[in-house]
Formats: sequence, structure tokens, C-alpha cells
Amino acid sequence: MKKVLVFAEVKDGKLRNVSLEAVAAAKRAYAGCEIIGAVFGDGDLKPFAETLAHHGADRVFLVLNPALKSYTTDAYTQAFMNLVAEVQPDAILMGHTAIGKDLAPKAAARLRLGLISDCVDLKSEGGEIVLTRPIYAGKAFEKRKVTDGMLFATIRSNNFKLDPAHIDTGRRANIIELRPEIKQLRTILKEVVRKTSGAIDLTEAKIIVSGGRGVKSEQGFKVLYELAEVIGAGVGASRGACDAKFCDYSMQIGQTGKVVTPDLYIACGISGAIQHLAGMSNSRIIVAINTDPEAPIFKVADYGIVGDLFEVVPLLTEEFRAILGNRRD
Amino acid sequence: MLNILVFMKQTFSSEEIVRIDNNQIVESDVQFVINPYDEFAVEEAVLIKEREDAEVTVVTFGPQRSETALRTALAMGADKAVLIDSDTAGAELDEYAVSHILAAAARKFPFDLILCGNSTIDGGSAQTGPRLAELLDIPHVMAVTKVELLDGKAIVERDVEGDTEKIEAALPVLLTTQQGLNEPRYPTTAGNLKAKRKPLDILSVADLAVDAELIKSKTERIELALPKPKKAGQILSGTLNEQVKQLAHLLVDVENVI
Amino acid sequence: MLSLLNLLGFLAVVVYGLHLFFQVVYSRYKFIQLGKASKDEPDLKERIGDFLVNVFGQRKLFKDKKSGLMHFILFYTFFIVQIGLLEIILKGFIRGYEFPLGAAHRYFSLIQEWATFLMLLAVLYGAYRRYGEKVTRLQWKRDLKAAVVYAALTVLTVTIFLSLGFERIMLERPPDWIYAPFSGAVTVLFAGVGAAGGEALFYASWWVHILTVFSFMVFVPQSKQAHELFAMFNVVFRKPGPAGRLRKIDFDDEEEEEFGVGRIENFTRRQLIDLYACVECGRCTNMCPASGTGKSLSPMHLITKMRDHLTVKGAAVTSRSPWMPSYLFANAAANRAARGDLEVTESLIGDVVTAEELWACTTCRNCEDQCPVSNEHVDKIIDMRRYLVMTRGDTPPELSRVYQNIERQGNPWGLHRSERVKWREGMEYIVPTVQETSDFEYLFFVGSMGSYDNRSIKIARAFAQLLHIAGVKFAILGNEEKNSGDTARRSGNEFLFQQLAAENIETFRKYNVSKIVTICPHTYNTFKNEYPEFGLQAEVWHHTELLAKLIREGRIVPGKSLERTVVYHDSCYLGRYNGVYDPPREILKSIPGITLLEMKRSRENSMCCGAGGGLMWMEDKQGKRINIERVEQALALSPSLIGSACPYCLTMLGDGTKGKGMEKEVGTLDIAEILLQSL
Repeated sequence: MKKVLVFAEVKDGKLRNVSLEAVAAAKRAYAGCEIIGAVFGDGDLKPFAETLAHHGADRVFLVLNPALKSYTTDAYTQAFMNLVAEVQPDAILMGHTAIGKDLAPKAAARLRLGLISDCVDLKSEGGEIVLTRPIYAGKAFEKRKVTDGMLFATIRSNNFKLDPAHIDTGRRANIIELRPEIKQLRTILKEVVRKTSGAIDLTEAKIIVSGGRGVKSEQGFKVLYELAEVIGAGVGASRGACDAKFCDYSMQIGQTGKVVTPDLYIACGISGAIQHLAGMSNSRIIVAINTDPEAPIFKVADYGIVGDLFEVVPLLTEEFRAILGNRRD
Repeated sequence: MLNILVFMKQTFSSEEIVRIDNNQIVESDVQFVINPYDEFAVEEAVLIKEREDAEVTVVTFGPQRSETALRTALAMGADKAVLIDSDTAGAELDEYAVSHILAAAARKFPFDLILCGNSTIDGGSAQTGPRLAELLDIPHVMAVTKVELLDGKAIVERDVEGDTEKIEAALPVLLTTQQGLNEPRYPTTAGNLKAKRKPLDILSVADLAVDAELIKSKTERIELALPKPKKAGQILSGTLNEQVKQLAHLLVDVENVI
Repeated sequence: MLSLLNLLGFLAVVVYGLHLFFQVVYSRYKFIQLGKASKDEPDLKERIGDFLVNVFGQRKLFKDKKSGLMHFILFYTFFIVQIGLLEIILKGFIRGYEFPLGAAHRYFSLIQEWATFLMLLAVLYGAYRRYGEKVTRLQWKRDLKAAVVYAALTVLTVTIFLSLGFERIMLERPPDWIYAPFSGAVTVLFAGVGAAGGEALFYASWWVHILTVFSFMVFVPQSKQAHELFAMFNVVFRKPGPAGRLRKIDFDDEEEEEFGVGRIENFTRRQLIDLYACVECGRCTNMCPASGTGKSLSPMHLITKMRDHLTVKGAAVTSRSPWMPSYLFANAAANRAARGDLEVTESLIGDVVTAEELWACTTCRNCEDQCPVSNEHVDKIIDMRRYLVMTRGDTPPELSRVYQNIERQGNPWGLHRSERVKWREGMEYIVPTVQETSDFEYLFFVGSMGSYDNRSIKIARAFAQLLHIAGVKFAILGNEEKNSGDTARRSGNEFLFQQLAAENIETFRKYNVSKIVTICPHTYNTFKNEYPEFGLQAEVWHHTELLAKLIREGRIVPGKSLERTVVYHDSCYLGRYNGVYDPPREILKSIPGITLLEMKRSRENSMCCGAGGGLMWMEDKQGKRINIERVEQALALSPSLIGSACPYCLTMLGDGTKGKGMEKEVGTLDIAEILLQSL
């Protein structure tokens, strides 16, 4: 029986959704495999182990050390190597998160393994696991497989859907505590500055909600901020809105403002002049909400709603609140 | 004097349309540029050089056409360039194999600081930095948005999914660069002309004398595909409530963007 | 004895005066010589014509009618009075001397008296303009030197009358009311002093006059009056070729590491003459759209700051004191520099002129059009931009992005080059590409705006339809079309411009293009005036020129009446740069029901919309938005339409009406769109 090690991440006191998706991916990869979850940290991590069990983990290692309270490369790598030696897995999966991006390649280098990052799909084809991942910022996809050594992969969030039918709150797993020795740390974490709400760096944001002249006033932006809060988006604006003093120029997206490449761009009350398009036309999915059906933005939008943003956006916020409330991330 | 190594790659320009032919990415009639994230690395190195006594060497593992990207880096202010010709490597190499080649190249130079982009806009796996640091046995910090050098230490800020971490590490250290670190300069005509005369060495993989086992890939690409063609934009219909529900469903379940 | 002393004294003054004068002039000549030799080859015949019209005809001065008349009078009376000066000088040594004109001498006297009087009136009027009427443009450089000019010329003219008047008393002659009325008045006023008194007063006023003349002579080259010497050279040595054409840089010299002008001595000598020719009249700044909206750029101050810097630097390099007598001005900066007592800055851009000023220029050339001494402000600004962009690497980030986008995708927004031809969607059957057909008379060069900008696409489509209706055979380059390079050239990226020019010209050759028509005045200007230097051989038309021709030939008949009042805005690159004012107006007038309104600032005086010189791609951060200012001027006439012939202007004016909340009441349309509506 194959042993699949799933590195699970805890953030803000909750198990990250992508870690649960990694468990689901493991099940897809190997029928009847033993899924071994691992949670790193310090203190009482049992509740997380239990959640992992509900989602299908057979064993869960709680890797404990005060140095693991916050992520540092050296501490986690040492602990991880310790864990791998203990578990002797046949495959390793984790989420493609900030930690995943940092830990996985380093561990892969140390373990002399290949690594397939940021996967959006996984199939078992003739005994081989084939992973699909985006390349060229999603303009193409490649299918990759491992040719030597064990499977080591990170998965992109929100692509391996959880089937609520497979969650069994009565399921139990074997919980084992592992206390690795952690030696010299070469990087010192001095301070963490949490992002304040609404201050997501637009150029790195995965989702952006943007307002134009149609927002009509500074207060008008409130509805956009509410939507952004719920879906975890940055808030931007068109030049017209900034000129009209509805918002600060630091939010301006466009030719003379910021150029953004989010996965999702929701343009509210923005007409879509070329100067604005120049700043966001490379967004993967563009949604437009505008009262004018002739607005040029509809020509570049994937989905459009012709309507008043002050009616549409609050409805959207409610809808997303409902859907996402059922998720945990 | 501070020795700075910058690892960079030449990629498609970010607006380029990707075409596939015979399971290969078509490279004809394509605009090539320095990978935008690597540009931050080159710029940061040049900024450091402007502040203190430093020498900047830019290194690329890539095909012959990468020379133009290296010349651009030289025009921005780098001192020397090295191209490791990937055509001499034989097959398409994965991140595992490439990291060994890059490590061998790094060992040929004295370095106090290594900079490279957080990821490339083509492969996009973001593995190079951490792998290289591991092979060279030096610490690394990913996605830095601010760099300060003081008394043999790097004091950096890094972007972690929106939060900012302040981290300190003693040199030598490898830093991967993130958007927001700096605004890469547009090379001047004077810079471009000077760049033509700066040293650019071309090495073959054999010149690096790497163990043959280490430059064999551990993973392989078996297929390339384009995404489902983008449907013409749909303007939703129905009552406002229906439209909103439909949109939410599309974004969460179909497009997977939320 | 006294007359010997008189003569010796006079000779001393003359010799010393001339010595100082030549020193002062020679110093400035040497400073100008620090500049680079020029490779310009002006058309001498054209220049002589210019000279006659602008120097003798004083044509540009009449752009301000009142000051123009004043100066015309001053100019000519000055020459006349100089002749009289000779006679007056001789009168100081030969008692009662007169030119041997016999009976005709009284006519000579008449001319001299009236010339002197008119000169005095003109000077007093000038002083009134500055101090009484307080004309705005005369307030910006209202200093002691300007006051000296009025004072000196007043003293000069008054002492002529005094001298002549006292001479009459001395010679016991009666006043001649017909041929010497003004000196006659003096004679009568002072009649009581008697012959001896008249003699004393005569010599007194003669000496005051002589001293004033020679001090003024030494003063002239040390002040804005230097224009009297330098302006005529300026007219002859200004940039050759059409006004819109910039000097090219030769990039073949691999050793060259500095492009553009970062130090004052990197201007050509001919460019440096401008600095001393400046009269500080303020006409340039008066019309400048940047100055007029609170930006830090003032064309006049740009010139005078560079002039003062050249004087100081020139003094340091040549060790010549520019301010004479040097002992009198020992503490002046330049004199100290000449002695090696002052550190002179090398940094032209930064210490003398700021980058902010340089980037505020829209290159509209209103300054050059106004300048009575033919100064050229724009090419100097662009030369300094070239230094910032191509040498120092100090490019505004918005422009760097534009350059990169143009390099990679052939348009300033970086939208994919394969989408350039999409603007013709639905019209492919009447808008063929050169790859689809070789049967065309005109190559319609659409331009980046017409191809990608939603608003401008409508202009391109309207024009294409008009050409089709008129039965004109045309084709477009499709995706092989690239940005014309005007933005690159005007913002200082000469290298990118030359690259684009070479590529576009090669494409034109490939498809045997002999006639080009475009909807964009910037493209029109660069193709017509600048591309030939790089090998283009083709007729270049602006779409309004072609449409006007088609209407004249009866191939387009505007039949439908439109009942609109239209204010037409002259684009800088169509109007001032190329003199195309009438074709757009002809088109509008040919449309029934159109009432054409003219703004106060129209034709050569048209105010820039704010988008030229690369500013289309940058933010207007300082002061008031230029386009808002212009739109306010248009709206003041209460039109129902604002008409334009340029995609940039249309964008700026359209945005402006939106900014004023008037976009529903007042439409902004291109001439082609208006014409199409009437078919």
C-alpha cells in the first residue's frame, strides 16, 4: 500500500482549505493508499489532526517544536526531513502556498527529487500519475509525470474540489507526536506586519474589484470594499474615479496607473476606455457591471451584467458570503 | 567589494500569444524579454552597485537567443554576463537538473549575494531560487520587496500572501525578487551601446563539469495543450437575482477564480 | 583750449566706449563658440526672404498690434536718429555744423525732429505698457535693466531736442516751427538764458547726450538689448527645413556615449545664439499652455536661465569678464567665475533647468511662433529630453512603459500587434490590407490611436467610409503597421524613433506606397517633414486635406443639413507645424446648416489641447489641466459641437467636456465624423 504524505498548513488558527484539497488529491492519485497528514507547530494541534482524519487521513503526525511556531525555511526544512525519514512515504503532496513554494523546492533539492508545482489536476493513467499545471500564466497547460524517484507535488488552491459526501466526522486517525531537533536557523524573522483590510497590493492580487465613474462618490466605494472583503480581493479604480476624487490615485489601474494581472477582475461602473484596458486586459477572467450595454468594457469582459452596481454588487456580496461561508480558508 | 550574482532567464513578453505546434511551444515571431521577475533582480543589483562598491554578474542557462536578454541586463548596468548554452545540454531539462547546472555555474564565481526572480512567467514553478540555495548551502528568502545591506547582513522585507515579514540573514544569501521591489530602468541608448562592449562569455554544459547523474531530469512533460477557447463574453440575462446567482456560480465552480 | 579738451574728452569716451563694447560683444561671441559646430545647411534664398520679412518687415512683432507698431517705429527711428547723431557729434567740435545738404537740409532736419519725437513717444508708450497698463507678459522680467532702457532712451531723445534747441539759442537763430518744431519749443522755453547761456547749456546737454549714447552702447550687449545685435543672426541661422523637423542624431559613431544635451556647451553654436537674442518680451510664455496652467515651465525663463548659465560658464572657461567695466561689476557671478572665484555647475539639467520643466512641454510651438527674434525653444527642450532618456536614464516611468510597449507590440498600450487590424471589423470589404490587394492609390495609415483606441476607431471607420463613398482606392498596412515614432522622437527617444522610421519606410517600399493619408496630425507631420530624411519618398496627406479636395471635385457631396454650431479647434501639428488651417474649415463650411465659430485663440494662436510631446501618456499633475482650460475656451462660445482633426485632441477635448459635466450638451467629433453625418 502506497503511503502518501500530505503536509497540512494552519493559518489564522484554521487548517487551510488547500491542505484538505491535497488530501482529496492524494485519494485520487492512489486508490486505497495510506494518507499520512502532518501538521507543524507548537502547542495543541490535535483538533487539526481530527479534521484531517474527517477528510480521509489515516495517520497524522503532529510535528512539534517551539521553533515551528512561525515559518522559517531552516526550521521547517529540518523538521520536514526528520518527518520524511520517519514516514518513508511513496509520494508527497502539499498546497502551493507561500510556505509550499518555499519548503517544497528546498526539500526536493535535499531529497534529490523532482517537484511538480502548482498543479490544477491529477489523473492516474495506466499506473502513472499525470499532473496538469498552467504555464505562461495560464495561457497554456502542460501535463507532467515523474520519471525517477517518488512523486512530489504542490497543488493550486481551489482546483481539487472537496466532495462533502466524503467527509466523515466520525472517522478517526492515528495521531503521533514527533519532536524533531532543530538546530541553527540562518534567517531570523524579526517582524510580521499583517495586511490591513483593503490594502492588498494590486499588482499581486489574484482578485480585484474595481470602480469607475459609475461609483459616483467616495462613499460609493463602500459596496466595493464589502465585496472585496468577502472574496479576498484588492480594490482598484479607473482614472475617471480618481480624477473625480472618489478615491486615491494609488488605486488607479491603467496606462498611467498600475498594470495588474489578476485571475479575476470585476469592473464596476467602468466604461472601458483603452487607457484603462491597458492596465488590466491581461486579467484571466473579466467581469463587467455597467448600466450602459454599449460600454466598451463589455467587449473585453467574459461575463457581464447590465445593471446598476449599487444593486448588483451588494447582491453578489451576499451570494459569495453564503457560498464561501461554507468553505474554510 | 561586494560580488553579486544574478540568475535570469529570457522569456516570452507577457502579452505574447502562446501557440502550440507538434506538442512544442512555437517560438517564431515572438517578442522575447528578460523574465519580468528577473528584471527586478537585475535592477536591484544595479541599485546596490550604485550605492556601494560592487560587481554584478548576470547568468543565464538558456538557448543562444538569450544573449539579447543578457545584453539588456548589461545595458541596465551589470558588469559581466555568462550564457550557459542550453542547446549543449541535450534534452529538455527540468528544475532538478537545471538547478545543478546553475549551482555549478555559481561555484565558478565569488559571490556575497545571489538574486533571481521569484518565478518565471513561462514555467512559473518558482523552484529555482530555493533549489539553488540548498545546493549552494546558503540561506534564502523568497519574494523580497525591500533589500538593505548592512554589516555583512541582508535585512529584507518579503511579501507573504499580502502580509509583510521582516527578515535578517547573514551573507552570503540568495534572495528571490518580487513585484514592488523596484521599478526596473529602461536601458538608455548610451547603456545599450556600452553593453555591446561588456564581456559576455558563452559556456557549454560540459564546461561546468557537472556529474552526469545530476543533470538528468526527474520529471518530464508529456503533453501541451491550450486552454479551452475563451467564449465570447456573455452578458447574463434573467432577473438581477438570477444573474447574480449565475455569476457567482460561474466564478466559483466553473472558472475556479474564487 | 576748451575745444581741444572737448575733443580729447570726446575721443577718450569714444575709444573707451568702443573698447568696452567690443570686449562685451567678443566675450559673448566666445561663449557661443563653446558650443558645437553645426552641420546645418540653411537655404540662403529662403533665409534672405525671412530676413526681409521679419527684420525689415517686423512681421512677427505685429502679432501684438500695439506693441508691434511701437517697435516698428522704434526700429526705424533708431536708424534715422543714428544719422542725426553724426551731425550732432560734429556740432560739438564745429560750431553750428550742418550736413552740406544745401537747401535740402531743412528736410533732413524735419525728418530728424519727427523721428526723434516719434521715438520718444514710442519709448514713453512702452513704459506705459509695462508700468501703467501693466501688460501681463511684461511683468515677468520687470527688472532694473528694463527700467534703464526706458530711462536711457528718454534721455537720449530729450537731449537731442535740448542740444538742438540750445544750439539755436547759442547761434541766436529763431525757432523754425516747420522744419524743427521740437527743438524750436526748447529754444522758446529757454530763450531767457541768452547766447552765452545757450552755449553752456548746449555743451552740457551735448555731453549728456554723448555719454548716454556711449554708455547705452556698452549697455546694449549686456542686456536684453543685445537682441539688436544677435537677432538678425538668429533669423539667418535658425534650424533649416520645415518648422516641424528636428535635427537627427547620427548613431553610427560607436564611441559616442553622450546623446542629447546635458551640458550647455553641447548645444550647437547656432542654438546658443538664441540665448543672447532673447528680448525678454514674454510673448512666448504668454501663449505657452504649460505656463498658462500653472506648470513650472516658462519658455522665456528657460531661455534666460540658460543664457545666464552660459554667461557664467563661458566666463569660467574663457576667463573673460562678461560684465564691463569689470571693476564696476567685480562681484557679479560671471566676473567672479572669470577670475576663478566661483564654482560653476556642470549640471544643466538639475541646477539650471529642472526635469519638471522639460517634461511640461507639449511641443506645441506657440512660443516659437510668437517669438519676434525667431528663437527656437522646442528643439532645445527636446535635446535635453534626449539626454535624460538616452544618456542619463531619467525617463518618467509612464514613458518607459510606452517605449517598451512600442518596441514589443508597435503601439503605446502594449496591446497585441496581431489585433491592430481589428478596428475594421465588419468593414473588411471596403478596407483591404496591402496583403490582400495591390490595387490602391492611397495608403491609409491608420495610426495607433485609430487602430486601438475605441473613440478614435470611430474616426478611422468614418474616414474609411468617406473614402469608399468617394470612390477612392485605398488600402491599409494591417498588422504590419507600426507606431509612427512621433511620441518617441518628441519625448527624447531618438533611437527608438529612427528604428521605427526605418521599419515603416521599409514596409512602405515593400508595398510600393507612393501616397499616404492619415487621420493623425502627428503622424502627418513626421511622415511629411521628417521621414524623407530617412528615405521616405511619398506624398503625404492629412485626411482633412484629402476630404476637402474630394468635396471640391464633387466626389463627396454633403447633402444633409445638420443645424449645428461648431467650434473648430486647430491642432498644433496640423496648424502651427504645417499651416493646414483652411481645409478643415472648408469642409465644415461646405456642410449645410453648419455655423462655424472661431475661438479667440484660433489658427496660429490656437491653444494646445495638452497631449503633444509625449504628454498624452503622462499625468497632468501640476496646476490646472490643459485640456480643461482649452475646453472652457470652447464652451464659452456655447457651441453644440466641438470639432477637431486629431485623435489626441478629440480625446483631450472629449475628456474635458466630461470633466465639465457638459458631454451631453456639447458633442466632440472629428471633422470626418461630422462630414459623414451630412451624407
